[in-house]
Amino acid sequence: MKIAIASGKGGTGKTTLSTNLASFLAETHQVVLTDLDVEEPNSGLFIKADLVHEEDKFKMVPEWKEDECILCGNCQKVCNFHAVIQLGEMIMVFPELCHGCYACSELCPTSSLPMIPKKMGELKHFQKGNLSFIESRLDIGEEQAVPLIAQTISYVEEHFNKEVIRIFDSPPGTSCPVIEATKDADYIILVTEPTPFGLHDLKLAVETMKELKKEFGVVVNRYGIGNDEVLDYCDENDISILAKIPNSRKIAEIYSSGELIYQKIPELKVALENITSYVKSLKEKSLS
Amino acid sequence: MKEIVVISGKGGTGKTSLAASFAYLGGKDVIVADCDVDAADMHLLLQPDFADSDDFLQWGTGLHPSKRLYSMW
Repeated sequence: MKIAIASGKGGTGKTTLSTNLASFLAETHQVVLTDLDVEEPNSGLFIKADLVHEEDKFKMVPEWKEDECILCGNCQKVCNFHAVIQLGEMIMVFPELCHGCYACSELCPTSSLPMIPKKMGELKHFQKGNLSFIESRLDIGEEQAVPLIAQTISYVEEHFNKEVIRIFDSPPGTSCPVIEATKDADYIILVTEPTPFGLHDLKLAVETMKELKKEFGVVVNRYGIGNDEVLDYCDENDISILAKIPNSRKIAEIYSSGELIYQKIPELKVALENITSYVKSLKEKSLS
Repeated sequence: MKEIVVISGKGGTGKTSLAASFAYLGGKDVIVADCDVDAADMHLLLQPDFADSDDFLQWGTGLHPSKRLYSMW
């Protein structure tokens, strides 16, 4: 079971929901929580676990070998991302722009652009009881989050068997990093807030999920602020609202001290139970 | 003061609110650019009349790089 927790808008509560849901589920199941917001991973602030493994992550980028190069310019023609440029009698590579597609390297008639590994970030693997926690962090200056997100998901697939429940804390927005983080999930939970901003970005996220043909539901966070437009929108579009998390000073205080909320706020525990039973029922439905 | 950029690491911290407030205080000679192209929300606060709208075209692939600049500008 793979559940991705996403949102259009930032700061709606993806990490809060991810960490609380994963910890709650880990009371009775094997769970792996993965922070795929590799530009700003925050889940680790709420998960107190022991580091069991860490590794550098690399992407493959071309490196120019000038000896055999005939300066045909083919490399810059085939690069969609301007990562390879011919300047006079020189080929310049901009590794930060490279998407690692190998086109320049494979199509070079003199094999003058071999692919070499370049470090782009780090992955850490933590463990506490039933809960495994994987966090990847993109190096400063790196432009591409997608290759690190893809490799992090691969790490999870290689290291955990299928029975382990997977929770993916996704990056915000609706572009490539979100697509990469959600495209293989069985179910997506979109976290929003009941404000015009929450609604506007929820609509974008919903469009994205429909495009990906994903099953999804909505969790309304900070319920009680703003207005009812998010609820009306979900109602009109037959989108399931899995839970409403109340706007509460107590929840904000627990969150801001870096602690899990569901152990102290019974309402949140009920919300997590509801989410869990709903997602489980969907899974059983899809199996039957 | 020519250009102020409002950014944050974390989402939902108040970039749009702060930038809109700055714009409001700045009087008439202000240009506001919402660069959060993934989920642009500034228009919800400022409610501008859209004088013009353009499609954004990606640089043509397969074009020679020397021609790509022209297609952008």
